[in-house]
Amino acid sequence: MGNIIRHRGIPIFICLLVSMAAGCTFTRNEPSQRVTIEQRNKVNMAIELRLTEALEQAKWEQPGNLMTRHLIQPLGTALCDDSEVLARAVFREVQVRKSGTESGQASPTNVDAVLVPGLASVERDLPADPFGLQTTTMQVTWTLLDRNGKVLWATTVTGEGTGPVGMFFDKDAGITNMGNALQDAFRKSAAEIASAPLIQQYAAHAVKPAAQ
Amino acid sequence: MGRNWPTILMLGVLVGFLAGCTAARLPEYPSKTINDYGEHKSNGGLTVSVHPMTDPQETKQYFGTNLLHSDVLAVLIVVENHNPSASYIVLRDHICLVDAGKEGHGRTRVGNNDAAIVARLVAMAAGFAVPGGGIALMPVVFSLESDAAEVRRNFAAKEWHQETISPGECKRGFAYFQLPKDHPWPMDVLLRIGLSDPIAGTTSTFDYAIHIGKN
Repeated sequence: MGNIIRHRGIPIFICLLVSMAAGCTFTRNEPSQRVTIEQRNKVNMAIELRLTEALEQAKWEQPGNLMTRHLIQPLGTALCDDSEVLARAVFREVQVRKSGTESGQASPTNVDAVLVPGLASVERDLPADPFGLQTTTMQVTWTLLDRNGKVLWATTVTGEGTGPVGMFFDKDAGITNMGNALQDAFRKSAAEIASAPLIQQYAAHAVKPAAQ
Repeated sequence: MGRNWPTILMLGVLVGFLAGCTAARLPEYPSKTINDYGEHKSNGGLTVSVHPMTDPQETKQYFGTNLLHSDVLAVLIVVENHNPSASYIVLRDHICLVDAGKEGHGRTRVGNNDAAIVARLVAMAAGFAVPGGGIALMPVVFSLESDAAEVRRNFAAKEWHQETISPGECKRGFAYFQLPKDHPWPMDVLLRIGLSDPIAGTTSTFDYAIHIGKN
């Protein structure tokens, strides 16, 4: 009997480990470090940064199965905060409107345009080795609207970040590669928005003088 | 050591499978000049080229799975803007498949290009590792999971969502369509791409005939 227990001990231990990992939802920590964006010559526009409910509730998700847990990493706070950092670094004046505010649907009157960030996708590869490097790829969309909601400019920016996979029971697993992907996506976004010829055209011709 | 060698051997194999593994990366679709892609049309300084991925070998090479098996059509879209002053916007909603059999404005949309729906189909196609397979198959299952994750990552990263093409710029990406399952095969459709000039307030439409055989 003792031999049987000894011989089967390791497979039973692996079974227990797998069953611990499978079938339930595990929520990882959201990246807390905010992006840093170099201040440059600001675009001479007053914009409303519209944070949608979809952005506020954005998350990375990996469906679970018999072998793995259902993994969730919330991203809404990071995306909303980083969007504000970006908007303030790129535009002359920024008003932030969150989805829950009463006037969420009303047309803005005292800004030149409305900037709407979105998360189009966020996916990760999955090295089988927990000590290996994982890559997160995210696509962030930016839409600039006029006061009536007409699209003035739109783009999609892809950001990539690499970092350790981490262990499945670690709440901070994958946080480095997600943080790096956010940093990459928002830095590229800032550069693209600031240099877009169409936005420069709007800033030069369609902008009201700043209120004194 | 003695009688424990089968267990040690099994663990050795397991560790051997896992150690040092990084996820395999699917390749980028090669950059070519716009005239080298299948079909291209020009209008007002704009050149739009499309390449429907209907060859199973090609989709397996660049997407890791035969997308048409899941009734998903991927089309590479390349837009080059030679207009000296105008910029053009292409939104995903302005890229659609329409029925080739109908004429004019009566044409109806075929399939669905909602990324969430299409991505779910691809995830299902790639997620054949779901049922698990017991301890003995763990390394194999991990490897399949790893492949499926890369298929999903690569599929999402290549998608065309929305772009502004400034003067002198060239942008490219894939549009995905979930084809209707009840449609007779082979299928003849038109790919319609609308490009809007926000300053002039005009829209240019480019149509491309696509023949899709069932693989």
